[in-house]
Amino acid sequence: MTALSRRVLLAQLAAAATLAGLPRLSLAAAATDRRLVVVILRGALDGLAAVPPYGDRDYRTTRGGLALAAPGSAGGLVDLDGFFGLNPALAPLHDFYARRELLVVHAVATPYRDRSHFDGQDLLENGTTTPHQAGSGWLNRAIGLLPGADRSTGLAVGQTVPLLLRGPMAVGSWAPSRLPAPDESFLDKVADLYRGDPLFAQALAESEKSHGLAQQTLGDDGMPTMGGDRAQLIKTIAGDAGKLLAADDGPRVAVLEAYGWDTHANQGTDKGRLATALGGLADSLVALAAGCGPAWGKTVVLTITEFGRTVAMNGTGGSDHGTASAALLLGGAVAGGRVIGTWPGLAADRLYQGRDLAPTGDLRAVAKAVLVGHLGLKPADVETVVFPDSAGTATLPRLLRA
Amino acid sequence: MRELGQAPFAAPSPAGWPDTAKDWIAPEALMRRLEWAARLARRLDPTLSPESLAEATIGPVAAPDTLRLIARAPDRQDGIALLLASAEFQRR
Repeated sequence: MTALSRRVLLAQLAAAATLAGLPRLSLAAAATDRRLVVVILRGALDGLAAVPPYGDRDYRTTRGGLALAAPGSAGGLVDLDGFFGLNPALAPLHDFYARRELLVVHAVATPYRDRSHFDGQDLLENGTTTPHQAGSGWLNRAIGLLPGADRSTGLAVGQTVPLLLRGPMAVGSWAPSRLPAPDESFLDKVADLYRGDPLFAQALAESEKSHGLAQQTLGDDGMPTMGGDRAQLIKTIAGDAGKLLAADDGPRVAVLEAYGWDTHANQGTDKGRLATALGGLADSLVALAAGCGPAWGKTVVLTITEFGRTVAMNGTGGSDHGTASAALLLGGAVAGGRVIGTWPGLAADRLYQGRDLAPTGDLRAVAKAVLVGHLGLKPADVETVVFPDSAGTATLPRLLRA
Repeated sequence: MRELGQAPFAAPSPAGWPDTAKDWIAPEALMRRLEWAARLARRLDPTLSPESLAEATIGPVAAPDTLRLIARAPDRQDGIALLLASAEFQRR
């Protein structure tokens, strides 16, 4: 057996062992010492609520009931640079910002300009300019270009492999044995479904009542249900993913997924639905960083979402599907401590279609810069294989530390 | 099956499990089914089309609002969970 085929065999055995939960056997070094984590925020993150442009003179008037209080006031946002702030629910990320390990890229979007979550996420993950153009994900294609990458390089954290990691390159997947329960918003959507069906609607109402009561009187029976220790479990998963990435022979490109961003109703501001989801995200990112340990210095985490949300509040205290949002980059390898992007402003004539934050940057450009600057892929390869038809995207200021 | 309250071969009478609505629409049974639907959906292929599946399974009987809510779910797996949770699907 040649050294090369033995290495491939060991890598395959190692990947299988990882999936079976056994200790890894590997003599092969990982493809790179850099780590990349992409966090898919499914449901369209309101970037204006995550990183509010409180210094924009139209911020308060356009956002209305969704506007956060100024820094220093009760429930006020955390200032970043005098113009942008952090939603107080993301306060744990301020430490990263202060250490220059958090970079926000604002007013960015993929090429998608419609309003379907499914199609928007397809395009977000397939890296092309139309939702159904590629049956593979841009990150899978990127791993395929990484010299030395094998089936243990990529890792889907969760029960399924998302489109982002599907494709010609085999990837591993890992999910904990104890899984987070569905979140509360699922039951709200089911209640909507049952609106026209009195039998089901009543049964649901009764079950929610008695379910809530049982939780109080009997306590958790060890199975995480709606709410409860779901947040803790998600944090643990992120921390464990970090530990996997930290291992010398562990994966190098991981994907995590987070839900709960589709805040059409009762979005809240410093408290409420979105704040809860943001808090969970912040805690997960902190746990992920801790799990990475010394490898954090060579890590980039990138959050991506299919589109943003409307600037104005809708009739149900929430926001509807928009266009541009914000992307977060965290990691020891990030040149952070800044909010970048060309800010279009929130005046009525500056909004996209009169309703959304206008996209002035392309999310693909952010991903490209990370793939080239952090993983060392060749720009020409990234523009042909990973993000076809992306040559026109404007270059960004430097994202990474030298 | 046991979790959903109908362990095989353990029916209350030789007539089998009851199938009138009031028997399986009990609130606790419904909640278990909803949790099952949500958990199952998270294990299914995330590239499946909820609209296509809805059309194939409940198409003829689906209320337009049901199809609309499924199509507007925040992600595909959630759409499938809603399909499985729908009254139309449970009545099949």
